Amino acid sequence: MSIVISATSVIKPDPETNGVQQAARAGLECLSNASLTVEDVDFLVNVGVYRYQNTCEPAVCAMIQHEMGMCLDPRKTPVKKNVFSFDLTNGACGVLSSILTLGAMLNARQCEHALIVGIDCPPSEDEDPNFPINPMAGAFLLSRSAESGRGFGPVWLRTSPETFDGQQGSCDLSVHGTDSRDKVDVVREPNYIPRLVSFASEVVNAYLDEHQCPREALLLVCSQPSATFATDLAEAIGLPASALVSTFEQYGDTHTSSLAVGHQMAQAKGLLEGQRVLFVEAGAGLTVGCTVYT
Amino acid sequence: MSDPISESAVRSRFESIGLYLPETSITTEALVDQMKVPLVFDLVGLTGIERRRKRSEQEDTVSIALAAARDCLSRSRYTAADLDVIVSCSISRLRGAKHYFFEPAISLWIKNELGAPQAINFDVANACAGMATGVHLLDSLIRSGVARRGMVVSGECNSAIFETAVQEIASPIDEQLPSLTVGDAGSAVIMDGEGMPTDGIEYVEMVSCTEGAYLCLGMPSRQTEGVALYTKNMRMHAKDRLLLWPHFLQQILHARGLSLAEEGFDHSIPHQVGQRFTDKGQSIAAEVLGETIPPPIHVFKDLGNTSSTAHFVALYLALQDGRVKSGDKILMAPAASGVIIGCISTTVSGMGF
Repeated sequence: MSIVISATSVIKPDPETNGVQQAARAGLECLSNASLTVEDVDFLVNVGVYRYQNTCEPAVCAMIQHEMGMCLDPRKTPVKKNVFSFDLTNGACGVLSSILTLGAMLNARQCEHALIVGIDCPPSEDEDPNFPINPMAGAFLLSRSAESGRGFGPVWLRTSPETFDGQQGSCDLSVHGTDSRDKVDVVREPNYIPRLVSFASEVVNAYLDEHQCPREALLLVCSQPSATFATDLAEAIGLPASALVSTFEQYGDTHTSSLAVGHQMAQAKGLLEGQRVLFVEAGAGLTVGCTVYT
Repeated sequence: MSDPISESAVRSRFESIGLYLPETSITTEALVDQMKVPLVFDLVGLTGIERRRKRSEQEDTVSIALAAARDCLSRSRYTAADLDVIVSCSISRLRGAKHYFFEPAISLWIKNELGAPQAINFDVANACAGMATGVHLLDSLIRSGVARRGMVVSGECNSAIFETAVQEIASPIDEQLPSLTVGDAGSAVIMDGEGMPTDGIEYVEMVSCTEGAYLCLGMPSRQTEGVALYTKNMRMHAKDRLLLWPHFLQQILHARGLSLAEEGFDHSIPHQVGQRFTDKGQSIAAEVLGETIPPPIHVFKDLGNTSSTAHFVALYLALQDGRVKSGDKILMAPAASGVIIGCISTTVSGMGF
């Protein structure tokens, strides 16, 4: 059985609500876009890396599920399906890591729907000019389908053989002391973006060649960690500029929500019709994920 | 969906298991002595936890996970280069004493140090159900043919929260009191697709019931320099919450058309949160199911609650001391804040012992 996208959604930053609540809104809107409800979901996954108050327990996903009103206490209020939720993080590559894993879970367990949600928000409600990510909440609803000719191709996840994280996001409690609940430092190493373009293009070119995937009628939806990353990647893998769904100018770096933002934009512009979508995530590690969706 | 390495109809199994325990042990008495206010109840009597391990200044999440991973590989027929997947499942994400990392993935550092650059890696977090969640995911990846074998690993630096707790606990009902029950440990399992009815994972079922999602919260403290865990313990361990697991097990047994006795479990491994919780949980479960819960394996007396690693630390030690023998059937019962519960049914081989 193939794995298809039933819907996506994006929620713009909202200073009135915290990241958990925004991710929950993205999840609910995504289900609504597919004419489904919380009762239809088998698996719920959060891929957001940066979180409100630097919470480390419980899984952020449990709080998102709570805010969605999904499977709160199935003993007291019986539900159509039990939901299993968890955080799955892999820097900027959380969505494709989740698609790889959830595809296996849906198929191995013959389940129907998995919802991926995420947002990367600064830990404090106060504005942090140094936080480089635009906290957009995004969601993908995946479904198992018997329809032939549609769905995700193989998902690749590759890491660079060199010891070069490129980007680190952390909170050093010995530096921030009792302010640590409100602080996060996202640090990029010199040459991060050029090296990321180089590694991403190497992986994606190998993917397209190995799967004999023609570059015509291919739309590129990808991570956009800088103003130039996506255009440089498109060029390096032999795609025309018109094949790129460019989101950076409007939204900046939306980190783990980038694929949802790009997919929503492509859908709004009517670009998805008759196109295959090349999804690429790239970030710290260096880590690159890619797949082609038909 | 993904490159199928082998066709399905495979059954996964725990091929090998690894453990790392930091050398230093600290008694409950010594911990309580460090507190600024006296404890008005007998913590050892209540929990059965007499001591726990504490990392050295040189140890962190990655080093503890790596030590467990290497121990696991030492009794595996596989090498690091054979692994298709590595999943890191720890709650703590520390490099160095107090440096908490969000990215890159902890699993990336683990796989590079292990010498497994070919392995797909990602992190999962699900509080104390972290390794059980990793097992759930890897079981699906193996059964669907995406992976042939992989490692689920976790290195927990839980001492960070008891160090904060002893400094900050100010009253007999302080939300940090449960933090005194935890300890540090690393655990790893390698799973492959060569399971048989006599040596394999029969099922992994988990559910998230999130009415109590905010009952146990971990985050940096605003009072002192450290990570704190705030637990509303009475509500977390209230009967309503403890009814969730037997209700879920009942659903599973009903779907399988079996009673608990007919499942033939030799042992159960509950979450290692202490004697009173385990006794209460088992008693409520027995009441709901109308059957006796399989005899529990406990290791909390000397190690406390080692969070995401707890079930696999218990399995390791029980295999090592002979409480669990090759061919024994085990019911693992993860329980975590969120609230996450689960049932893993597995028949074990020697797993390298």
